[in-house]
Amino acid sequence: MHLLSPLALAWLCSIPALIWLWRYATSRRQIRIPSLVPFERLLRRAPTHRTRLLVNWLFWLQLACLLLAALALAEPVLVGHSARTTLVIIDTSASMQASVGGPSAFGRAKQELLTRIARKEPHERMVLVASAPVTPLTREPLSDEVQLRGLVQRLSPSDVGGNLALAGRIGRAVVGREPDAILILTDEPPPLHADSAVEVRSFGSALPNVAIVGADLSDPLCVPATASETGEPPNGHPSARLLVTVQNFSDEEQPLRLSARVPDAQDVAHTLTLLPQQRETIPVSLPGGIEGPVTIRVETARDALAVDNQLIVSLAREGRSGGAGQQIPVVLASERPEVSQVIGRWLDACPRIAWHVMDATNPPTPRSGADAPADSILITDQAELAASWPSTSMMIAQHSSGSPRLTLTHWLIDSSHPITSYLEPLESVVTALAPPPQSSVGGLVGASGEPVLWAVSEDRKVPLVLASERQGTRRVTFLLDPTATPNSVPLTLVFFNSLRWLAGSRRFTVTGEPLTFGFVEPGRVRIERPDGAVEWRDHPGGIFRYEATDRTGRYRVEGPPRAIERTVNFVHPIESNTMTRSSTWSADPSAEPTTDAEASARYPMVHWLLRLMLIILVVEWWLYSRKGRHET
Amino acid sequence: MPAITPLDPAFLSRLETLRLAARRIQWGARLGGRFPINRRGSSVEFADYAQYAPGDDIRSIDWNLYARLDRLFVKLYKEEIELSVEVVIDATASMGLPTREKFARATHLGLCLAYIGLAGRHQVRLSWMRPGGLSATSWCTRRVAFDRLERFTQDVVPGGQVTMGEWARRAVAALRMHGGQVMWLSDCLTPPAEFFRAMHLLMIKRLEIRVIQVLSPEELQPAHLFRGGVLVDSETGRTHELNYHPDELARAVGEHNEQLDRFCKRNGILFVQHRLDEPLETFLLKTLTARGVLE
Repeated sequence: MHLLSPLALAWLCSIPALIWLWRYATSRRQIRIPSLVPFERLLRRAPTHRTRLLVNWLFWLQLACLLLAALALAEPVLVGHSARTTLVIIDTSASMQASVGGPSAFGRAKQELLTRIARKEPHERMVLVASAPVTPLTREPLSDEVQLRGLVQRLSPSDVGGNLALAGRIGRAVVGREPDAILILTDEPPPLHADSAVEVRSFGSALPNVAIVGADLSDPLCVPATASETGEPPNGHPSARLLVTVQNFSDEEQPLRLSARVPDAQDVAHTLTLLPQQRETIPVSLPGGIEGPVTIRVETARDALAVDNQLIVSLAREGRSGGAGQQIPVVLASERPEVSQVIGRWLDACPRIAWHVMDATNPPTPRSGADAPADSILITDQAELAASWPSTSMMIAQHSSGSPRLTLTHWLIDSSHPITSYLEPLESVVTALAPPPQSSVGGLVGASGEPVLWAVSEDRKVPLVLASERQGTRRVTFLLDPTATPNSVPLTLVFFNSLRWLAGSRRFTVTGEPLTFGFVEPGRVRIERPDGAVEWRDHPGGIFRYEATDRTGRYRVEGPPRAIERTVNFVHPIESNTMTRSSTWSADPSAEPTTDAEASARYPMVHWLLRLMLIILVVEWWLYSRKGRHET
Repeated sequence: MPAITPLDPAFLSRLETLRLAARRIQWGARLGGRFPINRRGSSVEFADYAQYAPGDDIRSIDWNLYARLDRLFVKLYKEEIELSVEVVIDATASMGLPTREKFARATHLGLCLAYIGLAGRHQVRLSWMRPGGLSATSWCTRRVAFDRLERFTQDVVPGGQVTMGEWARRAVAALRMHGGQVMWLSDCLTPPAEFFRAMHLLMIKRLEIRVIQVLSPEELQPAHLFRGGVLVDSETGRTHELNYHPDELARAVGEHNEQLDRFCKRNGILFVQHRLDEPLETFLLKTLTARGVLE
């Protein structure tokens, strides 16, 4: 309770007003009495000012109402012994929608939660937290069964991935202390190490699912940078621009049909069969000059999750390689002139690349008339610069001048990574190259990502290329020394195909990522969501960002000067994998045991005060009407 | 305003044990009536023995007593008179306040006294002190006339203002009041001078006066009645903003009543106060008997 609540203090000023009104009404009231004769002697004396307030029951009731209102405005709470508080985390991630002809895991979890609410003790309080996106559904612990049931009934799964541990931390913050019990309703398997106070109800089951797990735009950089230098692009698809990666998350073969709906052109379809757990990158040949959204759909016989079967990619958008004729901006930054010289010579061979050197000692030298935009691809051998670069980058590991040359044979490619679709032409190469300075990748300064290309050298597996992708930003660590054998065809192939993967960076937004709608003038902005809901936002002007992208589909923003549409896709291999899951729950090491002082519960009294005030008003009305009847 | 409720017959039957008490035979009381008084007279009701003296009627000598005591005694008998009982009920506006029960109680009290009078075979008349022409019933001597008196009270509503002395002057002349008893039922909230004047006029007519002051408890403790504001006199319409201490108000009422009581005692008038919170039956059977109004 805030005793110094400004509203409560202001409301207390109404009490003198009530007293004044009563005194005024009293002084104006005429009372017929039998006779003034007995008071003749008193009447001769001058009347003195009244010092006593003459009131009746109505005054005291009105005063009680005013005091109750002031008390209610102070928001008092009753501190008592704590009732049991349960933190309920319900998994609303996309995988909870998975089902094959039966109720989904979310439906069963919801029913279980409703049953728990119906069976709970009257004073037991609950805090509900949804895990995807992490949202506390209750602002404070609630014991009202009706409110809890209403919240659960309105809940629906989203199209984003979830994190139970994060939801647990948010829930603890809402409770304000360590809850007495934690109930987790999820489709994830139970965690290996869970506290006894944590009850995990898992509704998940292994269900077959085929999902689109990635898509790249693969424009040819330059004709010579291909496998056989014959002018034939990789995979034998001369007009392939889109690489769609699908994966079979089941223990059985899955025949699938992948179709691409192209605007103003005939649909493109592919049919293939995926082995259990197989990931396959399918090149989709698109006619040249295509602009607009391309809708890719995957159809299989047995599929548990529908949201990951469709992808919409917008072609010919602004960007570095949105069209075949656009140039790719590249920034080269190296302390060693020989590295800049070799890389520059390679880059000069590709007319679509507009590169320039960025050096601290020498000013940038544009070679193709292009400035260095923020989303340029950085090629550098400086680990710090690569780590701080905001967009896609390639880091070339530094080698000492005296490194021995090794013969590398049998290049090995990690087939589970999307970059493999670019590296496939290098399956068997025998060459002598300078190996990485250390066989252990972890010891290499600036190296990050997982190895996607190895070579065998003297019976040991040597990583050559590391790749990582985080929030749409790709990074390649090139462990080979380009200055050692600058004319090596395999080396240039690896370089350019890695560059293609970097240039083919994702061209779509996935759920959970913010949407940027460009410049919008100040005013009210209307947002139409894919689920039919409409939101209004006050926008101060400038770039408009919308972050609540928890549904796949089209988001339409209407604000001056125009209406803009953006599409959000669902690409989440972890959520799509309904076969093998791992729990995202982890015990919070910072959680402290509840002390007795913290165990005291705070029960808001505002509702009770308002009810009491209403009762007093009714009694007052009854007394007033009764008095009026008697007077008539 | 509701009508005066009729008195319960069972209650009336209990009143038949009571009789009006007359302290002295005033001029105007007619001898030969049926009301025995403690005066040696010629009725058949035995009163006492007395020593025979020459000149006494020898027919009144008790010869049996002479045979036993060998002394002469004469038997004495009570005198019987017939009283004229005038019951005056105050019907001014003040009798309707602070509650309507005040006038109803005064009317019931007057009817009870009238019934006791009729039961004692006196001639009884009801009259109301109110503005306008004098209103009074005719003299009733038989108990059957009580219904007529009761019906007459149904139409009387308190209201208006009348000066007590002026009304007494007109009533004495017009109603030919002389001798007998006057039962004055009023709240006595009138200027003392007017009260004294009225009493004097009645005393001049040799009437035996009993004043019964009917008051509500709130009138005796005005602080509970006057909850602030402008006070309006129900009779004169005079207004006044009363801003005094509750004790002062109660003291003023007490002094007013004491002034009237002192005057009555000095002039041999019975002054009895009746509070509305006292039951009517208790007041009749105990209070009035103890104060000598009834016996």
